[in-house]
Amino acid sequence: MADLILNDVRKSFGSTDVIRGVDLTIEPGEFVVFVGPSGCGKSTLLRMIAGLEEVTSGTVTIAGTDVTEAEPYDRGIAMVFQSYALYPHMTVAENMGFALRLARVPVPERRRAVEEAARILQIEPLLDRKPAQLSGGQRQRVAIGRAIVRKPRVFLFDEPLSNLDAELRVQTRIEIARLHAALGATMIYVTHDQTEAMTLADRIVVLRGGVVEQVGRPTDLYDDPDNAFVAGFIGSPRMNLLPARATGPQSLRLGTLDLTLPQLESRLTAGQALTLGVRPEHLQDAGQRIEMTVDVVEQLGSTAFVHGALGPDLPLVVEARGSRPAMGDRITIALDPARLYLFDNDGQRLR
Amino acid sequence: MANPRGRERRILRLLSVPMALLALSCVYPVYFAVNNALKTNRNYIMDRFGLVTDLTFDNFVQAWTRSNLDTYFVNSVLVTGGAVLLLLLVSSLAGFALALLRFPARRLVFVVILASLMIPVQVVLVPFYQTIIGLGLLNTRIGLILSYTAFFLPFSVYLMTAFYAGLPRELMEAARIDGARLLQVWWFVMLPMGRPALITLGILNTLYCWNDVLISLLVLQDKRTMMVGIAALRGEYTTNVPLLAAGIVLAAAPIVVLYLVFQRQIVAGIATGAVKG
Amino acid sequence: MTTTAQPQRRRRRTGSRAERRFALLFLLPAVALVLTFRIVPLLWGFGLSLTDATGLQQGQFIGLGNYAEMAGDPNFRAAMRNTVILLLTLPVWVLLPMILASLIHLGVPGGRLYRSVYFFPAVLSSVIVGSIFNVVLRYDGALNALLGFAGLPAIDWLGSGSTALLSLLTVQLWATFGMSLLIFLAGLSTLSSEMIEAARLDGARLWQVWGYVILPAMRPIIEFVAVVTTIGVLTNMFGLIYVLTAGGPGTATTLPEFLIWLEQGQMGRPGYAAALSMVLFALMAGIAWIQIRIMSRNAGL
Repeated sequence: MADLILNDVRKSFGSTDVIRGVDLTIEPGEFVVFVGPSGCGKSTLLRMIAGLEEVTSGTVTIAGTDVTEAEPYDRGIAMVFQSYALYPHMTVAENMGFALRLARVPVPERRRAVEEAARILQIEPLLDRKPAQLSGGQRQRVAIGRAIVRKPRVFLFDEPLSNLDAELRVQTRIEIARLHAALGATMIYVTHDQTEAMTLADRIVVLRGGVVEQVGRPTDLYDDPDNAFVAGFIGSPRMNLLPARATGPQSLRLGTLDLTLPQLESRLTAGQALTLGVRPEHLQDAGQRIEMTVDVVEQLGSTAFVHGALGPDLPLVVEARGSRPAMGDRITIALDPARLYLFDNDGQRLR
Repeated sequence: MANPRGRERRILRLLSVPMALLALSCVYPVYFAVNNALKTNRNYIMDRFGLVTDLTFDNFVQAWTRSNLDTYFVNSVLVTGGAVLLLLLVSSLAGFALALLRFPARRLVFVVILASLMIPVQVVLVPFYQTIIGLGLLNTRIGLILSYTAFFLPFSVYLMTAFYAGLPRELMEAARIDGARLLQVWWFVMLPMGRPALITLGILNTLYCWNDVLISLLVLQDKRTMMVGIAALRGEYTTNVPLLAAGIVLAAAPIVVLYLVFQRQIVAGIATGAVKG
Repeated sequence: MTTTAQPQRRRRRTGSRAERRFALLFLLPAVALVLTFRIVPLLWGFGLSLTDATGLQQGQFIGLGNYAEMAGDPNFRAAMRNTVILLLTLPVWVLLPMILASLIHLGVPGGRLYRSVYFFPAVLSSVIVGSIFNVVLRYDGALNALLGFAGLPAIDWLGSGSTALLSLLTVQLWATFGMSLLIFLAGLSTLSSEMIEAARLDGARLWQVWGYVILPAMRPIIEFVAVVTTIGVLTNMFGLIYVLTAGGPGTATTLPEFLIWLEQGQMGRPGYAAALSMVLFALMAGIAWIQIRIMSRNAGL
C-alpha cells in the first residue's frame, strides 16, 4: 500500500491558484524530492501534506487514510523546518521529547527515545543545552532528532539545508541520505537546489507554477527530460538551449550549421521553430565538428567550463575535460546527434 | 550620539542646571511624604518645611488601623492582583489568536478592540455604572477586576499581538506537528515565549490598576481601594498633614518599589507602545 | 484539453476548523469584556442621552432636549472654555519633553539620571500627586514659602479663579512630562547614528544637527505625542481634579470628565450626564480620526 497519495490536489489563495492539480503516489520507504524554482509551490505542497495549509480541492491520503481534513498531529508525519523552529525556552532534550510529552508517553520511555535519537545523530552531549547555545549545524541535528523521536510514517523536510554554510550542507546532505538508509522511512524533501535533489532522491518531482513538470528517478530526468524546463533545471551547469529551425522531417539548422537527427521518431515540418538542447558535458566526443572562440573560462582544475558562442544569440557552454583552454583560443567541439534533445515551440520534448 | 565639543559642551553643562532643579522637584514628593509622615502633628505645625525633629511612627499606625487603610490596602492588592492576572491571561490568548491563527474577520476584531480605546470610562460613565448594577457587580471586587480588565485591555492585546506577530510562525507549526492542540500550543509555547512582553504588561497594568481612582470610586463604593482611601483621608483630615503623608507613603510604597526594581521594563514597555503605535 | 472541468471548491473559508474554533474561544473573553463594558454602554449611553432619566426614574424620551440644555448651562460652558484653554497649552506639553529629551540625547551631563528621575512622578497616582500639591500649593504651603524667601508676594494658587486652572495644568504637566520624554527618547534612539555622524563630519554644529537632521526625522513622534497627550488631558485628569481642586473654585477647574461625574453622581441626572459624555466622545472620536489620518499618512511614506 502506498504511503502517500495526492489526488488532484489544488490550492488557491483568493483568486490565485498556487497548486493546480497535483497527482502523486509515494511508496513506503521512498525518498522523494520536490524541486523547482522559488514560487513553484513546492513548499506549499509539502505544507498541504503536513496539514499546515488547507487543501482547496482534491484529497491527501496517508497510509490508506484520507487525511485531507485532518489536523497535522493526526497524520503520522514529522517535519523539519527551514528555520529549525526549535522551542527556545526548552532544552535540546525537552525539544526532542516534546511530542512524546504531549502524547503522555511515560518519562523513562520518553528519555529512552530521546537518547536513542541523540545517539543516532551524535548529539548526546548537547541534550541539556538550550537552542541559543548551539551552532547552526547542531540546531539542524536537533530538529532532525525531534522528528526521529516521533517515529513518524512520513518525514517532511522543508529546505532543511538552506541556512547552513556550503561545507556543512554537503556533510548534512550525506547524513540525511545515511539516515534514510538506516531508518527506511518515507521521506519527502523540498529544495530549490537540483544538486541536493539529484544526490538524495529516489524520485524527483519537478514543479513549476503549481504543476508537476515531470516525475522520475534522478538519472531518468537527466537522461530523458520530458520538456525544456526539466532539461534546463536538472544538471549543472545547465543544458544549453538554443533556438533552431527545422529544414526537413529529420533535419534542422542551428545558426549556420545543418544537422541531421537520424534516430528522431517524430517528423518535423520544414520551417518549424525548435529548441535544441545539448549538455555542456556532451560536446567533446564524437559527432559533427565545429570551431568556437573561447570568451570566458571557468577553470575548476579537474575540468573547465568554456563559454563561447556558435553565432549571434547562440551562446554555448562547453565542458572541456583534460584541456586547459585560454581566453581567445579556438576550440573544436563535437555535436553528437545521439546526445541532442529537441523541443517544440511549447518546450515539449520531440523524441 | 553626536559628541559635543568645546563650547557646545559648556552650553550643555549650563543647561544641566535647570534640568537638575527639575529633577529635584521630581523627587520632592518623596521628601515631602517621608519627612512629614515621620513628624508629629505638633512638629509639623511648628516647622512645616524643615526636617523631622520629633520622630514618630504613630502616623503610620494610625493611618493603617484607625483610618482603615489596612482593609483598603488588602482590597487594592486583591483587585490589582486579580485584574493583572486576568489581563495577562486574556490578552495573551487574544494576542495569540490575532497574531497567529487564521480565521474570518480577524482584522475586524483587532480594529474593534483597538477602537474601544476611544471609549474611556468617562464617555460611558452612566451606562457603565448601570451595567455594573445590573450585573450585580456593584461593591464587589470581582466587578472591579472585570472593569479594570475591560478598560486596560486594548493596549495589552495590542502589545501581545505585536509581540506574537514578531515570532516565527514555524514555532507554532512545529508544535502543531508535534501533536499540540491549539490550547497546548498556547500553554507550552506561546506563554513561555511571551514572557518579556507579559512582564512588561504585568508591571504597567499594576501601575494603572493600583493608581486608578475613578473606576474604583464607581464600582467599589463601600469597600474602597487604597487611592480612594487616600482621597478620603485628604478630605477628612485637611489639617493633619502628617497622617495624610503617612497614608501617601503606604499607598505609594508598592509602586515606588516596582519603579525601582523594574524601571527598565517600564521604559521598554512605553517605548514599544510608542514606536509601534 | 478544452473540457477541463472547473475544479470544485469545497473549502473556501479561512483557516482550518480547529483554528477557527479556537480563535473564537481565545478571543471570547476579550471581546465579551470590551463589548459589555465599553461598546454596548456607548450605544446605551447614546439612548440615555435622549431621555430625562434621573437617578430614580427610567426617564422619558426628550429628543435632543439635553443637548439643547447644554447650550445654556453655565457649567458646561465653563467646562468647554477650560477645555479650550487646556488645548491651547498643548504646544508646551509637547515642546517641554521634546527639548528635554533632545538635550539628554545630545549628551547633557547627568542625562541618564535625569531620564529615570523625570519619569518618577509619572508612576505616582494622580491622587497622590494631587494630595501632595494640595498641601504644597496652599496659601501657607511650601511654594509660597519659597516665593516669600525670594521676596515675592504669596499667591492663593488653588483658591483664586485666575490661577487655579493654571496650577492644575502645571501639576498635570509636571506629573506626565516624563512619559512623553520617554517616548521622545525611544524615537530618538531609533535615529541612525550614522546620519548624525555624517552631519557632524560635514561640519554641522550640535544645534544645526538638531535643527536640520534630528527634528525633521522626529515629526511622526511629535505627532504621536501630541495625540497621546491630548487624549491624556481629556480623560486622565479626573483623579487630579478630584483631590486637588474638586473642580473649583466655582467652575474654574471643571473639565468635561469631571462635570459628567458630578451630573451623574451628585446631581443625580444620568440622562444629562450621558449627553455630556456624548460630547466628550465626539471630541475623542475627532482626535482618533486625526490620529488615524496621521498614522496612515506615515505608513504610506
